[in-house]
Amino acid sequence: MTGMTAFRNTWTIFQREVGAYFLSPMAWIVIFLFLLINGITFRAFCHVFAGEPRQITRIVESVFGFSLFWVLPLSPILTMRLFAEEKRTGSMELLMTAPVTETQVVLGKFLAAQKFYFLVWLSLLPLFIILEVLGSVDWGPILSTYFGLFFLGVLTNSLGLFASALTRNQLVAAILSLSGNLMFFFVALSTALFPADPALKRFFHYVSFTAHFDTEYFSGIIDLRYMFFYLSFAALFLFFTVRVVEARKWR
Amino acid sequence: MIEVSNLSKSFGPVRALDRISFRVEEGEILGFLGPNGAGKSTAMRILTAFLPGDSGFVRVAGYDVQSESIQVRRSTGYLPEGVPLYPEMRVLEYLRFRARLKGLSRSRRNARIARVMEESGVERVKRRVIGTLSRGYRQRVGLADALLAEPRVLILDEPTVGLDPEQVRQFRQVLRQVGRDRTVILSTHILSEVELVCSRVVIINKGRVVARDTAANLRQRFGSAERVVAEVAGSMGQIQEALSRDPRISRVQATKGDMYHRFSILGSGDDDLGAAVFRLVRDGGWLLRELRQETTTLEDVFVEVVGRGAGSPGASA
Repeated sequence: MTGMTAFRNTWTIFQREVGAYFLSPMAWIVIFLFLLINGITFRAFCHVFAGEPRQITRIVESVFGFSLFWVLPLSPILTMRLFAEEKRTGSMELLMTAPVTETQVVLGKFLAAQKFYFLVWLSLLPLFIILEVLGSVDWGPILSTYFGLFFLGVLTNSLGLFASALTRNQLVAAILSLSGNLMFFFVALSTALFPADPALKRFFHYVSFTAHFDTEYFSGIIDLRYMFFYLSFAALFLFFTVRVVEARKWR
Repeated sequence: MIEVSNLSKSFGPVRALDRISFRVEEGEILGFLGPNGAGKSTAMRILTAFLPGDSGFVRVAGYDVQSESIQVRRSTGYLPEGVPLYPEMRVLEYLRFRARLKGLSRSRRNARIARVMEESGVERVKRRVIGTLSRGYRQRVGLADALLAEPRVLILDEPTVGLDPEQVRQFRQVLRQVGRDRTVILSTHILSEVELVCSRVVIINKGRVVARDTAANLRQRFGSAERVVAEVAGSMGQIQEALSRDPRISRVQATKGDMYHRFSILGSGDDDLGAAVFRLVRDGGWLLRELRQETTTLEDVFVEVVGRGAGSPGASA
């Protein structure tokens, strides 16, 4: 199989999955609620920080800081369907009897989840544009936060895809990946457990996926070492996913 | 075109397929028959390279399903049991997606989609969302998909389950047409279907091939003794007694009527049973209204073959 075919197959799966997001009501409900809740909190922050020093920067930070809570459920919601549903309805059989490989299917689905995930975050942009109109926004931290969110998504979406491949029940898939996300989240808190051991503390800081937002992204810093961490975990999860999809052949 | 030899497959302790072998020649329509749970779907999943077998080997269109699975998938059109399509997509959209997935070139894609929609009769519903289609139409969309890449082999798993009789008739027509220049395997547990469209039949039960022949030959081989149905007027008890006494007749079943009683008569050998019954009725001076010879159906063969397999395991393998 040539590289061209591999790319085309991945692209075909990707396009179908992106289409499937927009054809299902779930995507619209997620975006609607995301915008509604963020809009309300944005309005609240504008009120709270009105007239204070650095008010625009603090509003931006608060909006992002608050929406980090969305990271936990967002990927599980977006990825739970991807394999579980195909397994439940049996369409997996039609998919895998087409001349495509497991890797192409996994990559196509992952990229679709990644695209939709990032679109959800991009939908916050109008809030910052409003701020820009009213005052002056420092776009550096916004850009670096988006950068961080993108790579965080690489990690959580691959984890979610893996969970979805494990089961034919979407809810089980969502619970599994939510638990996985929570684990990474709590790792950030465990840095406090080892105040005396700088090596452990550094390690936990390194693998925690929320710690970097406070200390780096919000200040406009992008540290490529963390990107490497996200990417290597994602590669691992995607590799596991391919293996799980192939697993029907092992029995 | 399709060659299965000594194929076995187990799921844990359950042996789904036990050394099955059969061949399908180019251009044939093979009926793959068996009760539910006999291993039909498992066999088809192996033929389409979705699952691997444990042992034995399978070649489809000249390719080994294990080591050349992509080529097998390229030359095979598959309609899985239950026709699991994406319900949120429109018919045309779905076929476009499948055509691209099957690697049809851009120039060939539209022509092929138009062609298979016509062949399977889904042209009329091409803008409908698949989830809103009736079972019959979904079945046809599945068939259209299977035909997309002009496969040399068509594998259809229970394609008429859930269709009403009219839809079954239509489906059969479509199948005859597309089967003209293709090799087809069709699994089913509806026997009339096999008799009408298939040139040869493989019957499996409990994972084993229990019969493998043309429908006509099977009927002959397994056709139990002759059966005659007669409608006779007279005293039912007397007629029944006279019939039962004859050595050429092994069993008589009588149904009382107003004037004519109905007798279902089973012969005991190869004698001309109809003539014997006629003579008995004439000699008794009764009135005969109908005398009809019943031919063995594939249904009888099936019941016999499968029943026998269950009674004495291994005897028929």
